[in-house]
Amino acid sequence: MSECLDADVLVAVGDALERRADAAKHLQTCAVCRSQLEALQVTRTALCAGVAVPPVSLSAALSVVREARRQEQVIERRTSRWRQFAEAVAAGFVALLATVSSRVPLDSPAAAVTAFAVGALLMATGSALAQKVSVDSSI
Amino acid sequence: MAPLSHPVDFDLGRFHAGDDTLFAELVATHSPRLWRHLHRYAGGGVDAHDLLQEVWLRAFRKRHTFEGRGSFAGWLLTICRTVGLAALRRRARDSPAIDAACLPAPPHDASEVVLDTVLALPERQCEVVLLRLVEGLSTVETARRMQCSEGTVKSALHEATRKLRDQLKEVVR
Repeated sequence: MSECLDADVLVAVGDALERRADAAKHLQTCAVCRSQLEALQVTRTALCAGVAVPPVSLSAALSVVREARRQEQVIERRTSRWRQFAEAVAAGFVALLATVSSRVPLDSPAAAVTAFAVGALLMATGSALAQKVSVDSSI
Repeated sequence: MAPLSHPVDFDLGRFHAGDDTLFAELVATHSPRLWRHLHRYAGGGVDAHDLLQEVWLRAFRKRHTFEGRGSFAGWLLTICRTVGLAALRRRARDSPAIDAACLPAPPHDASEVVLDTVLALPERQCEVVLLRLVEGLSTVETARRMQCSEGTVKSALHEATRKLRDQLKEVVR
């Protein structure tokens, strides 16, 4: 199989070479472009160059990031638990309200508590399941 | 000096999620450049070792502010400068012998002058310089990243180059 370049590529390469030759020629005579090119080279060198960092400093920086992530996860879990609790309480009240408004007779406080508890339990279970699905899908 | 193309497979989603592996790669790749600049701000019991940790901690906490449109290296260098200047201010506050009016400390090598000059450019010009020169993106890639036209990138680079030439005359000499 031939490894030669096709005509299109050759034309593109020729154009590029010609432009570069023009550019090189222009740079020889134009002080403004020369100084701009120098400024760009100095900028690139200054911003790209690095120096060796002691391994102990690199691992310390990484440890700080990992510790911050761990703390963030703890806060997220705590917030999530509180949110679940609040949702369950709200669902309990909604269940109780629904029971009352649908004229289901609540003969005793125990019946009201049961309606509340059923609502809260359903919400808490649903929320926990949703969280588990979301964690599983993110892994 | 070769430009720094994206050294790691930069996934914005993983970055925002605070992915451990990605951050390990970023710390290893970008710290050498930060280290060079952090020495400028070290002193008074605070060394580059402490400042490097502060920079990465801040980068981690502020990671959601990086939207992926501009240069990551530039975003990090800006944090580096913010952390460094805050260290200088703390030092001035804690030791009355240092005159706060003198802050920030004058740059003492060419790379610091260049960094200050680049970061002081208008935002679009600064981003173009960082993406084209530091990250080595082409005009087309830069335009795509910045969500603007190629013409805008070219004119911003042209204007930035003119300003850099004027402001870096002493360094270039």
